[in-house]
Order: sequence, then structure tokens, then C-alpha cells
Amino acid sequence: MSESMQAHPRWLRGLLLAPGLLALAVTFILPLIWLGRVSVLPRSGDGVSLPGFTLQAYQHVLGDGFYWWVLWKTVWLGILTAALAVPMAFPIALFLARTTTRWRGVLAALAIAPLLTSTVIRTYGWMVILGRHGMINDMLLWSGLLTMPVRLDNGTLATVIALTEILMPYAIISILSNLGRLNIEIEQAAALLGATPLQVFRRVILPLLLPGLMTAALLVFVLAVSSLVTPQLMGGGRVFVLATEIFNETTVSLNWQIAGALSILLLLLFGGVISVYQRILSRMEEQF
Amino acid sequence: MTTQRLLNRRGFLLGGSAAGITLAAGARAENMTVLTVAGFAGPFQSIFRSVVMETFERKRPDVRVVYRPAMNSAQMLAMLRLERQAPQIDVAITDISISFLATAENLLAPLAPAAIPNLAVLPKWAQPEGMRGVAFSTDSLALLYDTRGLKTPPQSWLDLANPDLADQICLPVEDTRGVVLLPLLTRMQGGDYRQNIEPGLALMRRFAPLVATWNAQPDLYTLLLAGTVALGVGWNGRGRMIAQANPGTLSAVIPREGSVAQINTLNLTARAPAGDLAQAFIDHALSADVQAAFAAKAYYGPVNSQVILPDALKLAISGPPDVAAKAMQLDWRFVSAHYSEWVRRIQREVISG
Repeated sequence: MSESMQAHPRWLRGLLLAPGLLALAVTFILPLIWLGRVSVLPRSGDGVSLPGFTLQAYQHVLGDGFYWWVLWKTVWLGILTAALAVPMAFPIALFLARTTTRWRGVLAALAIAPLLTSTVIRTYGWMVILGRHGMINDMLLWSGLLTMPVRLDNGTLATVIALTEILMPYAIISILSNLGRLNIEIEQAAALLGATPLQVFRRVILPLLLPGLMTAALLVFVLAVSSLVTPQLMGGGRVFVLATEIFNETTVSLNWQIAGALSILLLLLFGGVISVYQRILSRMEEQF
Repeated sequence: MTTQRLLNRRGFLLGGSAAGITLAAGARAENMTVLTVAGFAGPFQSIFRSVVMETFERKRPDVRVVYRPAMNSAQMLAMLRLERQAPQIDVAITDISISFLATAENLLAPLAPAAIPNLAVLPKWAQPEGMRGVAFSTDSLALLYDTRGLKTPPQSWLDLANPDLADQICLPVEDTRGVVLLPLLTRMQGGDYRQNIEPGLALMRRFAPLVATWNAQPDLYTLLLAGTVALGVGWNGRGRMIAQANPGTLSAVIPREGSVAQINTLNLTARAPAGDLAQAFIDHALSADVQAAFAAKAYYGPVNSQVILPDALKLAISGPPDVAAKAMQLDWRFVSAHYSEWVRRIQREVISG
């Protein structure tokens, strides 16, 4: 704890923290407790929730290979999206940080402007582009490269394409905020000492930016694994991720116990992933 | 009606409850009794309002009926559960499977035959054992198709396996549609769903390679209107309501092997704020006049056996007489108990299999 914090009386700190803590308690902690409670309620044969306590839903989820398969699909989707979005966001962020044009502000705003539109609308945009009668199929048919439209929408490919584009602005912002630490004089020094531009990039820029890139990747991964709308709209019902499973258990199968257990497990799992990741990240930061 | 309209679910909820609160507040100011009905959003809501609610209000000028729309029955069940201690809803319109579930959860009150004389003229299936609600209308599962894309109308459920339609079929079977299609397909294969649904699943697996999407977003009818898919499995009445509003775009066919009906039910909430009035409302909704008018506008089959429909309407609702005769009657208590298991099997053994 820093000295400036300790200079404030304890009551003042408490008072300043109170609104935030209260908001968190009401909007996050209470619903989470409720969710946890739902997940441990016994369930009768006809689907009625009974009072009591049981870990049946957890046993069911953990003992069912299907959920493990869905979990793997979810993680894979997150990794793939992060692996695509970050390398694509990196040059844009680097350009925005380095450019000296007076349009720099406008360009930066443009790069993150997609965030102003709702995910639903952007996903629909991709449905129009990738659809059976969409732009790409129409162009390929018109040019004679295809005689029949191919399926680009309704599947994993479409979901990954849409998620990558939708989550790229987050990666750009995240990388951009980290580029501040990159001092151009270090690069110039490396160049003076005879490094080629590729060597400068590989030996100087990349190691310095690695923590920033990893933070961006984590952000995209977390947003991708928890996304519901895009897999629902673009997946054609074939993309099974934990979010769509939870949605189905809640609204179709009406098994709130399973939905609750899945949510809690998802939270624990990704909480674990994030904390391990953060530890690796901070160790890396110490090295530089 | 279990379409998951993800996009405007929240909007509907917010808008709906805001409208409900405003109306209720207005009504109280005028010293009127308020009756709250929760039901499906969309075309069902507007027809139910004009045919059932407004006629009731004319009969009872001291009453104002407020409609709280929900996107599907599951959402309705969630509302009933959340309001268990202090119910706000008097009458809930739900799918029959939800009525069974809500009965088992003690969320519903039994209906009094003395307060609802029309119960006496209903067939037995309208009030099955183990369900406190009562059937209000039926809608058959049908093949819906794009009349611009398909020159010859589909005739059989097996048209879902027609290779010419590869990647142009929408099969939204992860909900009630799948749960009622499964017994029908099982019967087509000579099986009995009460013993084994494997034959139905096997037939569904034959359809799988041609399916463009299993998850109609925003719904099947919109995908057909947009020409994204050419053929799909949906609800007859709903499809016809939409076809009427968009002439020359889509049409519904009840296949020659017969169909199976989904049943919408009226349910009296336990400790309903306006209990007696709610029963009077249910009686009104079951009366022959209202039932006939609702069928004519919404293409939903009536439950009141005194209703005689014109031939053309009968044809639209249940198909030609020989097809209508093949309609399958489900044991809904059995089906409701197996609902989530069947959805799960469809998901695992057909869609991701």
C-alpha cells in the first residue's frame, strides 16, 4: 500500500470505496450468490426445484463428456479468435502510435468506431456478407469461380470471422495503451548498432511489447469465450460453446441447476486461467 | 411458440412491463379492476388483444385487461417463479409442457367448473390429468417454404431429405418443434415414442447433412422471407399469419403423413390478484364465439367442440380431411416429462453427432 493512501484516514477510504462496493454487491455479488444457490437445489423427476442442498448438477456436468467437449470447443474458439485478432490489430495499433499525420485522431477514432455499433448489428452485417446469397458468394458466382453457392455462414468459420472483427477494436485499444512504453530512441540505437529493421522488430520491439500483446490476447480470449450473440447468430446451431449451452439450459431445457453449475464452473475455470496468466505476465514485466 | 428471439427479448420485456405498469396505473386512477394476462409476444399478442381482451372489456366495462408479453414460455415460467410470493399475473398463456411444469411447482390454481361453465364443452384432451391449466388453441407443426424458391410445394416430411435442397433447409429442432417432431418421425418409422424414440432420431439424422441452420435467427419465417433458406419446420398458424401479411412469399403445408399439434394453454396463477375475474376471463376465452373468431384470424385450431369452422379455414388449419385424420395425439404428460431429455438427445445425437 502506498504512503499517499495511508495518509488518508481509514473512514475516508471506506467512504470513498462504499459506492463502488455497493454497486458491485448489488449488480455482481448478489446475483452470483443467487446463481450459486440455484445450482445446488435438488430437482425432482418432473423438473421441479425443491428446497435443500445437493451437488448433483456439478456431478452431472463434470461426469458428462459432452460438456467437456463443449468446454474444449469454447477454449479453442477463444484461442483461435485471439490468435487472429491480435496479429491483425498489432500493425494498426503500431501505425496509429507512430503516424505523424494530422488525421491521427480521426484514424484512431475510426479504428475503434465499430464499438459504437451493437454486436448484434455487426453480426448481422457478417450474415449479409457471408450468407448463401451474400456478397462473397454472389461475387464468386458472378466471376464464374463457383457454379453453386458455398456455405460460409452458419458454422465455426463464420463465428470466428465475425468474432475476430468484432473483438479487434479491443485489441487495438489494449495494444495502443501499451505502445507508450516503446521509446523510439531505443529502436534508433539498435539501428545505429547495425540491426536490420527486421532484427529491430524481432529483438527490440516485440520483446518490449510482448506483455501488451499478451494482455490484448487475454482480453480477446475472455470476450470470445463469454460471447453468446455471435455464436448464436453465426453458428447456425452447430457451434456449441458454454454460453450457448447455458442459454439453452435456461430457456429451453429449463434446467436452471445445470445452467447455474455451468456458469459457476465457467467462472472458476476462467478465473483460474486469468490469475495464472496474470502471474506469468507480471513475471515477464519484471524481466523488462 | 418457443422461438428464441434473442435480439429484442430485453426490449420486449422492458417495453412490455413499462406499458403494463403505465396501463395499470392509468386504470387504477379510474377506479377500474385490472386483470393481467401474460402471453406470447408478436402476432399472437395483437390478435389475442383484439379478439379476446377487447371483447371481454366490452362485456365488463369496469375491467381493464393488461397484456404482459414474453418471448417464450420459458420466460413466462421464470416470471411466475419470481413472483411466487406476490403474483402480479392473473392468467398466463403458455405451451402445454410449461403448464404441466407450473402445476407441479404449485404455481397454478385449479380452475373451478362452476366459475367456468365452458369447461363442460371441452374435449377431454383439453384438460389432461396432472395439469391445472386448460387448452386454449392448437397449432400444428408444418413444413414452411419459400414459394418463390420452391416451384413444387413440399408434400412429405421426407422432403427434408431431398438432396436438391442441400444447404437451404432450416431445422430448428432444439425446442418444442423438435420435441413434437420426434414422436411423429418415430411413428413414420413404425415405432412408438413411449417405448423408444431412436427411430425418430435416426430419421432426423438423415435430414442433418442438408441442414443450413439448426438455429433460426431471428426466426424461421424471417429467413424464408429473406430467401436465406427455402424450406423449414415451423408452426402452421404462425406461418399463415405471416404469409397473409407478406403475400406471395411463403406458405405452409401439413405433410401427407399427418402432423402433431402444439397446445397453448390458459392458466390461473396461484393467489392471482384478480382470481374470480380471471376465471370469468378464461370462460370468455373458451366461449364458442371467441374461439371461432380467434381461429379465423390466427389460424389456430379451437378447443371448444361447439365451434364449427368453414371448410376453407378447416383446410388451412389442419389440412385436407385425410391428412387431418392422421393428426397425432400426444400424451403430453409423458412428453413434458421427457422434454429436456429429448432436446438433449437431438442436440447430441443429431446436430453435433
